[in-house]
Amino acid sequence: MTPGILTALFVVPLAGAALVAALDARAERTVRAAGLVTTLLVFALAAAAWLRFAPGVAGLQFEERRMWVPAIGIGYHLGLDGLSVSLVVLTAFLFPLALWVAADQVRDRGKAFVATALLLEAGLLGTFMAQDLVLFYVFWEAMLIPMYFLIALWGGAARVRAAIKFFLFTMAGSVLMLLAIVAVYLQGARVLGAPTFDLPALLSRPLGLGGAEPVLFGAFAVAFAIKMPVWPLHTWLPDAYAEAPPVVTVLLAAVMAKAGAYGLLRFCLPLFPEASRAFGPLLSVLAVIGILYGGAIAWTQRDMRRLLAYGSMSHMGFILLGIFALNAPAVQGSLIQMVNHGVSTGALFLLAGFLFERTGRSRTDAYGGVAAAAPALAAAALIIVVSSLALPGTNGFIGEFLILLGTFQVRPAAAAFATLGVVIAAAYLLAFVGRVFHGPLRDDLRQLPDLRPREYAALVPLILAIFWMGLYPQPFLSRSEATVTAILTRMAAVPDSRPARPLVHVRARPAPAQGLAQVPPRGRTREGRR
Amino acid sequence: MNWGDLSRIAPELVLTVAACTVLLLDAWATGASPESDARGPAVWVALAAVCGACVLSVLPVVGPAAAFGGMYVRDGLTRAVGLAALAAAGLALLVSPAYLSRFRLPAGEYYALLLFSTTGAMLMGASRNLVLLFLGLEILSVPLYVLAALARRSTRSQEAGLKYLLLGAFATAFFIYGVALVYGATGTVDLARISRAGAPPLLGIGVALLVIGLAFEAALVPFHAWAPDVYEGAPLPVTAFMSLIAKVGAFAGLLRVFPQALPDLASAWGPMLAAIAVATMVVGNLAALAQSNIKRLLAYSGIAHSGYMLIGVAAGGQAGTQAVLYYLFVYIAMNLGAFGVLLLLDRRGEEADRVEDLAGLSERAPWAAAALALCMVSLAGLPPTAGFIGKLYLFRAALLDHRTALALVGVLTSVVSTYYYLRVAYVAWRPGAAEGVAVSRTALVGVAIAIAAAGVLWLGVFPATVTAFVEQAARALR
Repeated sequence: MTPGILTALFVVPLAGAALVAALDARAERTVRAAGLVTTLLVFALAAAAWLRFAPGVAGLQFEERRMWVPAIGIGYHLGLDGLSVSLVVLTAFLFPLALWVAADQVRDRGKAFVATALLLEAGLLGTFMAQDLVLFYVFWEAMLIPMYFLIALWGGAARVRAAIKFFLFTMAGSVLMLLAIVAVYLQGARVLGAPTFDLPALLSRPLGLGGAEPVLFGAFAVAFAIKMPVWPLHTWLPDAYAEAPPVVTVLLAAVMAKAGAYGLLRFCLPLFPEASRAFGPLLSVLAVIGILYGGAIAWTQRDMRRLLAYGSMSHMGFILLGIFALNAPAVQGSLIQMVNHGVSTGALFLLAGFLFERTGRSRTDAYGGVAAAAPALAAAALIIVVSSLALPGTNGFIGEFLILLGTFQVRPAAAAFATLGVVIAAAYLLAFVGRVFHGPLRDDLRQLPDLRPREYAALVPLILAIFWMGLYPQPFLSRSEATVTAILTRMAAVPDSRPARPLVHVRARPAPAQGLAQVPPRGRTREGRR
Repeated sequence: MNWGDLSRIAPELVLTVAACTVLLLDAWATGASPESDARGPAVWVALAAVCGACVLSVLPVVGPAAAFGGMYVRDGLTRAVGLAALAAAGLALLVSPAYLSRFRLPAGEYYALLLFSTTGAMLMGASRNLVLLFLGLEILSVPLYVLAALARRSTRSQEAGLKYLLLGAFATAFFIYGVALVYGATGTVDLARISRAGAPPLLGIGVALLVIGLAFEAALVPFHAWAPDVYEGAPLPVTAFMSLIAKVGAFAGLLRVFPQALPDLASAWGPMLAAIAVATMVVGNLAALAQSNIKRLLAYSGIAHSGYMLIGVAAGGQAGTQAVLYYLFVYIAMNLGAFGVLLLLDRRGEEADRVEDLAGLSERAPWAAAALALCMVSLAGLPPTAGFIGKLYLFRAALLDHRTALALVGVLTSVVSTYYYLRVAYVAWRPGAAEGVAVSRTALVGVAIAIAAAGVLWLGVFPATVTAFVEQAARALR
């Protein structure tokens, strides 16, 4: 155990933001360097946590637990388990890259930009680590504020509108979740005898929500669905993705969208098992619609970033589909797909940003033959697109394969339609590559510079990650396996649950899936590492 | 009356004596120019009195809590309301001197009236008797009428003062009539005994009239119409102070009358207050959307926040009382922080009170702009600021009392409110400077903004100490 490493993970960016704010705005290089060093330090911490994370343990690791507001049972409870550990690393991995690239792309008021981005990082990391409902909500909402300012102050022409639309959509979803959190807490106080917002404590006994369960599930699920986004709650997405500064779009698509999917896994499935099962078919249908709709709209887009935005939404549909298949392969696939999608979509938007920065053009038909002028850029684009298409050998394959495999076992029709989405993805992504990079070189693009050293430095780690995860996904899968199995087992145990049966008994039941024997009793997760 | 009684009201006495001293200092200092006046000893006397009253408020009481035959009571609620009123007064004193000397307003009267008004709010928190509550209301509001009209050469200020006075007098008349009806129905004006009389119909009418008086002061819909005009017309530091102290007093009164005195009739007044709260939240937030003048915007925002706080009163009980008290502290910090930043702006001898005047603030005073953004985020109720914890407490109280609809309206109107709050923060951080607006650097205002911003963060990130304090205060209620 490394006491304090999780606190450090979100305090370091906060301290970095304070440090940057105290620096002289004219010392641009120092500001950039401070931001970069901070994010690299965070990445080092996150990587250390990832490496020291014990695979095969379902419970929380690196736990930190203190009372925060004792009077009403709000706790300061951080922990990592199989759901969150890889997402934390993904977040910490992408921020230094984004700040590194931003040095070229965001010239105006660099100091405020770096400080705001660091606040965003703190909020995102906190969201993935919080194990207390209120603490989670605090981070969840707190990350919206820096994101609003990043879009509104540094975005494109229609940035103010896009920023407020993004903010109101997400906020409207989350306030309902806040009420649902309080309702769960009040019910928990009745069942447990003591008021607490602590998630493991609330899960220690069936809450007996009865008729309120679908409503509460809905409040949570809508908040998360808006963030992902799930069709039909996606209408903020194209504006926000297209108007945000390119590096911020990278963060929006790669990390923030994952917070929504993560929330479904972390809160909806364990807290509302019956409703999750009941709404599973509906959400799967929405997921399939999202996959097909997003893909179809992406196909018709001529704006580069809107195309990628709808494509990203289409891919998020797979993740949703996998989560609500509610079996181990599909959920595992969703989890690794979240990381994959973060890397691939992040890289795609990064590329779009490079192109946009060179020419100021966002329409795909304003390009043509870029491969001739910038061969390295085109090669990188091809690799990233191919990973996004889930070609075997790249990271996208394993995730989508597992999702489709798991979904096919329970909902063959949904899986079949989703497979169609893979084909559509090939259509719009290859069309994108074709329009931008191939064909005759346009005269006004002859002087287009190829990748600069700084851009190489940003793309190479991403491409390495694409191949590493494609060829050797085992470290990611093994880290999530035990937790996923534990969640699904717990859900499976619900219908015949007798009141107040402690979860420990679940352990004694015959194992329906592999890995169950590693589930430690919930109450003793502190010692869970072996 | 004896020494024991006097020692109970020591904090109020200190303020009253200081107010008289300030007035006398002003009278003796003949021939001094208004500028030197504002920077004279008066503000320090007033600040010292506020600090002294703070210390006296938190000292434990020896012997019985009640004084003056049970009219006055020094319990946890008194202490919490008193500290809130003193915090509002102290912060308002810090932001005032620079403005007073810039606009040549009579400083002595200003500080004296401010202290008197604070005394009134504290008395409302300490009253266990409708007559004392009425006296407190008058001591609170009459100085505010004068303060609103303090800028004699400004017609806007005159209009504000007159409007406030006329409507205020009207509302107070309802209040005193309500006191008379309650007395007629129950034979007592002692809040501890009213509920023992059962529930005669006349009591209901009397209580409804009491609500009108208090709702006017708190600017609750439909008694809110004065607020935007008065906020806009009154001198800026007066607006800042008024927006805080009137709410402290009014909510102290509402807490004393409803959750404390009439807990058994909660099924009657609960829905009534809930309906007022819903109307207030909806009207305040929707009207604020359309404002381009920041004083009016903050007036509607203040109305909306009255609605949120009324959720706590309507929910009643310990949870509700606690939530309201906590929210009062939160509201003082975040609202004063916002007004403090506005007080730094100056448009060629006029108040810079349009939202657009904030443009480019981040380039000229980045820390002030950051504080403004923080206060706006808190007013919108977003974590990790005080506004979030405050609202969490209020919604928890509402759901505990099974008032789901109330909580639902509360959260949805909060979403609406983010639209106008974030616009203000955005303008302050947007590039490009507003024309003709200077940013002054005044040490005292800076201190007030720093305290307010620190309060917003502290109450949001480490709320435990203050929540424990208000919980204790609410426990006194039973």
